[in-house]
Amino acid sequence: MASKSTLRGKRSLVLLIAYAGVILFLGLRSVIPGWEDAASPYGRGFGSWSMYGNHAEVISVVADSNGKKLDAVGLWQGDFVSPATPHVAEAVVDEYARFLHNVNNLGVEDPVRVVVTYTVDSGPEVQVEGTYR
Amino acid sequence: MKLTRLLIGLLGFLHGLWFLRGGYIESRSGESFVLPIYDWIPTNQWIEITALTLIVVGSLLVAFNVRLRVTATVVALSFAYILFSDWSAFHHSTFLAANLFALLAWSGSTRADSKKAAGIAIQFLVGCVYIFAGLHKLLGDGFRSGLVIEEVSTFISQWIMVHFAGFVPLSVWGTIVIELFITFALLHRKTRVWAAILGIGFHIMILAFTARGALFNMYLPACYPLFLTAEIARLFNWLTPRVPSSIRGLIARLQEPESLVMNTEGAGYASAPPKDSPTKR
Repeated sequence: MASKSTLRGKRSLVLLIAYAGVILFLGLRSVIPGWEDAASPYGRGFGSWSMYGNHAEVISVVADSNGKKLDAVGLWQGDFVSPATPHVAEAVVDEYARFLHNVNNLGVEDPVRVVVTYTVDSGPEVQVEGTYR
Repeated sequence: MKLTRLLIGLLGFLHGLWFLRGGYIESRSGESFVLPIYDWIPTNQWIEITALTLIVVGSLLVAFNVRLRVTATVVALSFAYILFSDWSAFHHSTFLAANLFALLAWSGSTRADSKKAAGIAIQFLVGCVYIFAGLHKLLGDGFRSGLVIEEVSTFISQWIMVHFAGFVPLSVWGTIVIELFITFALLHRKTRVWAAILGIGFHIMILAFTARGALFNMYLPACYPLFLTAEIARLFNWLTPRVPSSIRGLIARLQEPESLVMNTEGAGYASAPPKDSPTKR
């Protein structure tokens, strides 16, 4: 029968392996395309903006709540999000809508609708729209 | 582990002050804002004030080894709260801090195997951070093209860019090579001292050339003593007779027990063995 000391030694080893597994997963998630998005609800993981793909430039961010245009827009407007994938704009939409939803002092009512216009590598303009309820 | 604990504790204290200076607890009314990563996490200013207070006070207690397991756990949880309750704080340095304090809490165990495992876990964490950061940069177009370096440049790096055309590719490939291989150099007995010097220089250059991630650039070198236990033991042995007695006490407090010093020839004892005792190497 294993002694108490051996069992505790084994427990440390198991904990170490488990911790190493988690860190390894997070590391792999940051370098394997697709993993980051799959694991993160908003396409934003430990690697921050993804480094894959092209350069996206956010041209405009427009938001309204129940049809009322919101003035406190422009946080990302003109931002040069770099380097980034086109899904950055989708993340901006999502985060911006959530931000407006969460800020109490703007008198924002749900649902918040956000439209982001962006280009990728100075290509044609693309619009992404998102709503947060 | 003792030197690393002291350094990480002091960095945690600075980290807390940095949040304070950055207006973290005023974020709901200031220019910044709090946006939880997950909706169910409460974002209440009183929780933020509590978390920040615990980080500032707890980190100092960790640095000076006061009830390490409890204080380090509290600091780790406070960092974890900030990490997940505010996406703008969802940053490398906060991620590192939460992990390092959690591992320091583990190292506070009275058992040698737990202390050793916690030390190995910190080494593993540091290694993964370097290697995956290097891979991330190697695989992404943005960093390899030099765009990131140009975007985050300071007046120092901008001046160098103007006068030395090779600065950007040198920075890009220098960073990638160092990040991919420094862990192995830190683990190898013959190269670890030079790797540590290179690593410290590397992080100083990142600070000078990008002015980004100040705390992140200090947390990683703060873990180097774990790779250099034998060399640090030798350094302390060399220093002890050469410094005033008041400092000797401090050095003695930072010396690792022999069981945690890497088994390398010539490392010397953390404290001098009795003259008649056999040498245990």
